[in-house]
Amino acid sequence: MARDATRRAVVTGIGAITAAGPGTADLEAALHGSTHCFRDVDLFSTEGLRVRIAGQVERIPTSSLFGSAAARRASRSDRLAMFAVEQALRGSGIDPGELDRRRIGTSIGTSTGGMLETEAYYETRRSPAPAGRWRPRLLAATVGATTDVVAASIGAFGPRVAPSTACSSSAISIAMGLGWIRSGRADVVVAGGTDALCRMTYSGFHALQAMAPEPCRPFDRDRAGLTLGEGAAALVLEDEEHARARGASVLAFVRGAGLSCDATHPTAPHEDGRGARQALEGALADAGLGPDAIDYVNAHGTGTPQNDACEARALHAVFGDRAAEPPVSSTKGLLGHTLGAAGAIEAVATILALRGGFVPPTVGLENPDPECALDLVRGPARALRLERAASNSYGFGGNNCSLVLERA
Amino acid sequence: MTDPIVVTGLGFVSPLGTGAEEVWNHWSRGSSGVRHLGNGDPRLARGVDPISLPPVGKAGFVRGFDPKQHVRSPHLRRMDWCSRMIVASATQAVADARLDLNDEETQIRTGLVVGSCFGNQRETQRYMDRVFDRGPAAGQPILFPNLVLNASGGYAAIELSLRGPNVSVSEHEASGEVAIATALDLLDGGLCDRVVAAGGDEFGAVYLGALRERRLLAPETAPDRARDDARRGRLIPGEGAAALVLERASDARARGHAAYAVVSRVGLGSIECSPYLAPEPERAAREMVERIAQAPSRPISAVFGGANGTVPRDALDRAFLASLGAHQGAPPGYLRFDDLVGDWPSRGVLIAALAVLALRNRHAPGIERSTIERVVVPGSGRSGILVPVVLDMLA
Repeated sequence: MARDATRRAVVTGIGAITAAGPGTADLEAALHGSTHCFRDVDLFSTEGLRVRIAGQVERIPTSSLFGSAAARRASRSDRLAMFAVEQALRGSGIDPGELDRRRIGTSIGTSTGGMLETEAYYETRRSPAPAGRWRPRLLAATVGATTDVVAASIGAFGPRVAPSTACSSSAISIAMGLGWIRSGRADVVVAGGTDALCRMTYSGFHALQAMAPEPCRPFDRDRAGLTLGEGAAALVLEDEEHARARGASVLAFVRGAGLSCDATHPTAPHEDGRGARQALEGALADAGLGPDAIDYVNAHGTGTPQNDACEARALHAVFGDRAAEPPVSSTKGLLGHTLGAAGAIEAVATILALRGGFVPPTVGLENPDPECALDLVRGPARALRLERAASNSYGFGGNNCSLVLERA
Repeated sequence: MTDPIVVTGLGFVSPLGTGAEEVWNHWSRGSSGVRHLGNGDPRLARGVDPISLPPVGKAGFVRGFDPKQHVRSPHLRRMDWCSRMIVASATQAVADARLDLNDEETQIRTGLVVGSCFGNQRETQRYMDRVFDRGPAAGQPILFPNLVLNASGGYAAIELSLRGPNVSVSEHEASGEVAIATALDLLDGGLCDRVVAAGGDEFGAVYLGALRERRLLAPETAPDRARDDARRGRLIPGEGAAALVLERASDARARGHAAYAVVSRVGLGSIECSPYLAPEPERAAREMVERIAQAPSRPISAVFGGANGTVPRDALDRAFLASLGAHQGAPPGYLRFDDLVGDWPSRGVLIAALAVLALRNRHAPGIERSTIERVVVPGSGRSGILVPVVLDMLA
């Protein structure tokens, strides 16, 4: 089913749970401030590591959408996602039972899914104790499980996919949802992402020496790496006509998406930022816009020396002489790098910024890196009327995705 | 469909062989890739598998595959086994399609979708063993980047200079068919002009151990071609990868490359079901028939089923055949592949690739029918996902 030019994707609901708290209100309040949400990790042992902090979610309210079996077996990633989905659905005013369920799609991206529970299963299995009691949890371990739990819980029987492209997973899940709305394969898509902290990623980024011992400082001259985080976010994407017909409030438009691959190195970005440039240029072309139309860039901005410098080069290449004009910030200094959830959380943060007329600061940024030479926003939030913004997400494997969002 | 999507390249790393011709030859001769798997297997002795596998009896085990024959990248030495299979199958498919990826525009407009349920299981286990044994500071930087599901997609992109959209997807037992559906989405959305759709999974001790604990593995004493009754609801595990190059028919024609088959319809959707269980067979079958009925009305010549020896999946194939036979007034031919290659969650791409070979050759080994014109691969997985893939011979 090819793209139908008459169909536009709007956002009618958003939900999020992050280290800032459960809900978009907590997130929006935190986006205005200049204090990070990091604390000592207590989900697992960090003994012997030089880094102990992360943007760990303190409390995950149980979603009322869970069936009893799903609630019993749900992974931490599932529970994070379900909270965000419930908030987004409530905000959209959608009751899936009143719609054609075969026209509701589900696309939830994740990097590691139920890995925290898989680790527990495996640790138990390595011991002499029988592993039987962990079996149900193993079924929740694959990266596709959260999409299934969400789809089953809300009764969505349309297209379904679980993108897993490391740190761009949930930006790509939004891009997939955009495609289904445009092609007419779905009228409503619940799109988003989730990732819980786990031993594997925490020790892995530590082993790569990619984690900063202190809270991360994206785009700072003295940045020393990333700080991990966890969370989930969900967007209810809807065909504009469908949304208008039911009298829904439109929060934003998803104008375009661009996907690319660096095809250079398993973990490092291309030195010139060519993949990042290609993704953003693709998103602008998909939206039918030029770079002049962008008022704010929510950067991937992990805080690692190499990634931030490459992203800055990509932004310079796309915006040219205007590179110092659009304000740029990274919300990872506030929430940490939430990996597979980052794209969706940052899309929600960008929509909050578009609607609230502000640019969130990069928490932790004190001395902007002159090599980056962008309008890097430091705390507190800058009041600014915004029409359109870009949100960038890049992952291991060179998997890139940029989104262009527009205020309704 | 005014400009249909066609298959122009194939790649295989499978228990039945490596490369389309070897696979076709073995399949045509009635060979099976399922054999006894034991710890004395030569591949284990060569150290390819860092983790001892539990005794699994019969398995569809990839043998005779030399990654160096297919992968030129210096990254080969750090690639995990799952990535090696997927990268090699993608490389074969691109070569088979005669794509010139030296051209920058072609690189940028060529996408890749990889379907895998588990990705790199063995190195994940090895990595976690170290973390559990020695503490979180013992994580190995050389292994960690391989543990994400999209590692194989990244390696394939580097190997082939694929700079277009690069997406890895996971959907349990339907991971392969969902990869094909996602590839079509990328083409439909105009995000690229051609896509390599690949699927692959490897053996892993944790998954095999879980199957064994749940008594889902076929007993070693089962005959080679045992069917449902003899296996008593148990499966033969397998591993492997396959890849298809998909592009618009007009693009294939423009570059003078003959296509093998047409992808007529992929009906990605689902029915009500627990997220952890297989769908109810009769309902799933009816829904899939309804979805493929929306394609042009040529009858289905053959169903390339997903039966794997487990009770619900075998029942789904039976119900689908009955429902489809009633719908079109004539029973289609039927093949299952678990006794040929074993079963792995992203096997759908391999089954689709076998269907393309059958359509290319107008003949499916094991089906007594004069011509194979239209094949359906009824992809399905737990949680009620349904992905029937309909492939047609070229007009």
